[in-house]
Amino acid sequence: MDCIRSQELMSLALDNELDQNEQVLFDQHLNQCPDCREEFALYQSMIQDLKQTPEAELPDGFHDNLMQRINEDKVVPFRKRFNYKQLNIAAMLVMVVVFALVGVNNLSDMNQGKMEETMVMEETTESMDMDMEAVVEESKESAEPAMMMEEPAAEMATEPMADDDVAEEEAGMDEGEVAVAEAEMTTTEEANSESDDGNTVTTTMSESQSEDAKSDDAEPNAKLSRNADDENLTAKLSENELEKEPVISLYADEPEEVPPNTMNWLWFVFATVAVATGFMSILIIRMKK
Amino acid sequence: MSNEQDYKLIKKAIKGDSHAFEELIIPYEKKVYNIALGVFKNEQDAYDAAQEVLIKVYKNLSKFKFESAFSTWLHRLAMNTCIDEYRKRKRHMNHTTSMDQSISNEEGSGPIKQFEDKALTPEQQVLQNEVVSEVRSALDMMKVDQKVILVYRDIQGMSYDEIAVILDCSLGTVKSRISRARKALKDIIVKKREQTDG
Repeated sequence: MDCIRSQELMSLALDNELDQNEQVLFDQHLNQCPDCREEFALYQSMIQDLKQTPEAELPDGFHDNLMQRINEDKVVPFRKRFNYKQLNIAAMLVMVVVFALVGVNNLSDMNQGKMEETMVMEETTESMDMDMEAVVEESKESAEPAMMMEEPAAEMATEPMADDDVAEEEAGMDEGEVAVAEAEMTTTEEANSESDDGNTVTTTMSESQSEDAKSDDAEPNAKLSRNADDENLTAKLSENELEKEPVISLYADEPEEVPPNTMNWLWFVFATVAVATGFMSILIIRMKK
Repeated sequence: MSNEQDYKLIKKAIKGDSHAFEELIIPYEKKVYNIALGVFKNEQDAYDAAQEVLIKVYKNLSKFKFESAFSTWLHRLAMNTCIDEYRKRKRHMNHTTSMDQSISNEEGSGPIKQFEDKALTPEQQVLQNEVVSEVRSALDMMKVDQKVILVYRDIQGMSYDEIAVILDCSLGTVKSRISRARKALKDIIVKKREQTDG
């Protein structure tokens, strides 16, 4: 046995945990090696000192103080204590279910929101028409031919969202202008009809879409020959107005399917109570810890 | 106290019998206090830690599963609580001023901070030095994990098997951990002797 192996076995040798064969080899090595013998002696005295360390007596009042602390802490007897872990899990489940239900409820709200959005779009295009009027007024003020202003106005009508702000600014600049010539009125009406066409393309059924497409195709020609025959335009306008009717009736029907607002309030109150319960339980658990 | 007696008292205590709880823990209070005293350097910390252990026993008694001896369960709780408390206090100590910390000033090395030692007079200190052996003071310098295992094995005289159950590890692991802890203690003692002699 070498010194390294002997040092590995010293701890076990101190506790008499070596088997017979190992014990013989260990003893033989100690007899031959003074360093290991000295080290083993140091271990023995060290362990002896530790074992002789007198067991300290409990300080006065240790037990009484302990029982007093237990009573002061108002630690509830084990059986009566509520299982806060279970409460936590239950609260979490309630929160998950409530949020899921609220989520589903919000989905229906979103559908309603979409419809409202399309209605807002409709309103925007209407306000756009007012803006177009202002643009046309400006054109009259600058004494340019109506034919020249027609094309930009038509472009704005086909791209209502992008040019909305510009049109508003222009309208602001022309505040106070009163007189609107009859020719400009017809131009505005055409812009109106065009913007309505754009709206119906996105929202109405395929039948009206095809009809709109036809009318869209017809419009450039109408623009070119606008001054020549205003009667064609007014005829076209009346046709477009007829097309608008079913769209309006579609909007009028749908809001009736939306659940009443009182349901939303119930969900809100229920969700608030559930979330409050969850947070309270978590708070209680943390306080108990 | 036998396991059966402990089990009866535990069942009564769980039902809310506080006298049964007192009867259960009284024989272990001294052991718990001495384990804490082995871990902490001073009596006050040991006192607080021992109280903490026994309050935890009271609060967690319903979790006892009657699969092991109550003493083993109690020792495991005591060991874990003492180690936790020791680490907490050590962290706190690291944030407080050290007794021999020097005050650095603009001129370079400053004077050593002087603290009034309210606990012991020089005479009392000499007496205490006589009582606290070299080994005990070396034990205080050890890592808490190693200290605990030596408290169990060499101060409390627990068997390898008991320690294996408390530490929830194999017999081989216990043997090697005890061996390493003893070597660490021996190295500290040798180093201290070299410093004293040198």
